[in-house]
Amino acid sequence: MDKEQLVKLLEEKHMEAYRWSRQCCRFNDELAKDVLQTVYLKILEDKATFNEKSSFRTWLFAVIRNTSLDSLKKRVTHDGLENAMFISANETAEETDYKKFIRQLSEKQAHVLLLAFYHDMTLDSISTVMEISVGSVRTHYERGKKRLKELIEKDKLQDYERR
Amino acid sequence: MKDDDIIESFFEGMKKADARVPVPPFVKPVTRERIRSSNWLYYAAAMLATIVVCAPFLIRSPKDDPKKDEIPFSNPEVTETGSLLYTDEITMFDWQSPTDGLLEEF
Repeated sequence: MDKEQLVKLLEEKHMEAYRWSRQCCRFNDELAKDVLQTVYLKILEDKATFNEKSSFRTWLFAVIRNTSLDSLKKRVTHDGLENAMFISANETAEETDYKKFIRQLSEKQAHVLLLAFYHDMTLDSISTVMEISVGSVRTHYERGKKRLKELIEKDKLQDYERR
Repeated sequence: MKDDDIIESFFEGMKKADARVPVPPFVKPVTRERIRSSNWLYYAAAMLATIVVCAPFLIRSPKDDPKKDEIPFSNPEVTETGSLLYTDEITMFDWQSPTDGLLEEF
């Protein structure tokens, strides 16, 4: 695949890629942009090569995930865990609701659920993106769903009690 | 409500909330190859400028060569002690210690 084709594909998938990058970067917009630029550079400089074993979208999501995990690790070692959580003071309660629930899940559970429900991926594609077996994906999927449901119900109950 | 329905409606809501978040425009990154190729042009231009500036100093005609350094001897006469300064010269035999008088008195 030549560079022009790659650029065209990246442009097509840009919106989805940005949303996934943002989710992987725990909703930090600036970091998500940096990660995405790094990913595009990696791809155009042939540091990440698309071998056509999966779809372009699945492969792109895998590169984004790996790059964001590396960036988050660097942030944790440099700035401490506190800054890595990225909870902006400007966020309103309504805006943070979804993020708040996702943040309470383990990283793998959150990623599996986001890929399955938000990005409509199959378990097979998720296993490619996350570089884990389908069995492990299924485990994180079930546990994640259970935990998220508990969190939603707990929140509903607290909301009801407040009223 | 089934488990999946709760989760699905949660993510649908999340998608709607995210639709309000602006997506930055796609920017084609500048790859190192492009930087490298433009660097070559900068190096070539810098080299050319250096050559142009230094050329007049490097290429000299034989006429411009300064004559070899000549040290003119203005005073070729040599004094007794070989000194270039003209002072009243005193040989070792004429020299008197300034404390000689004291020795004599004692």
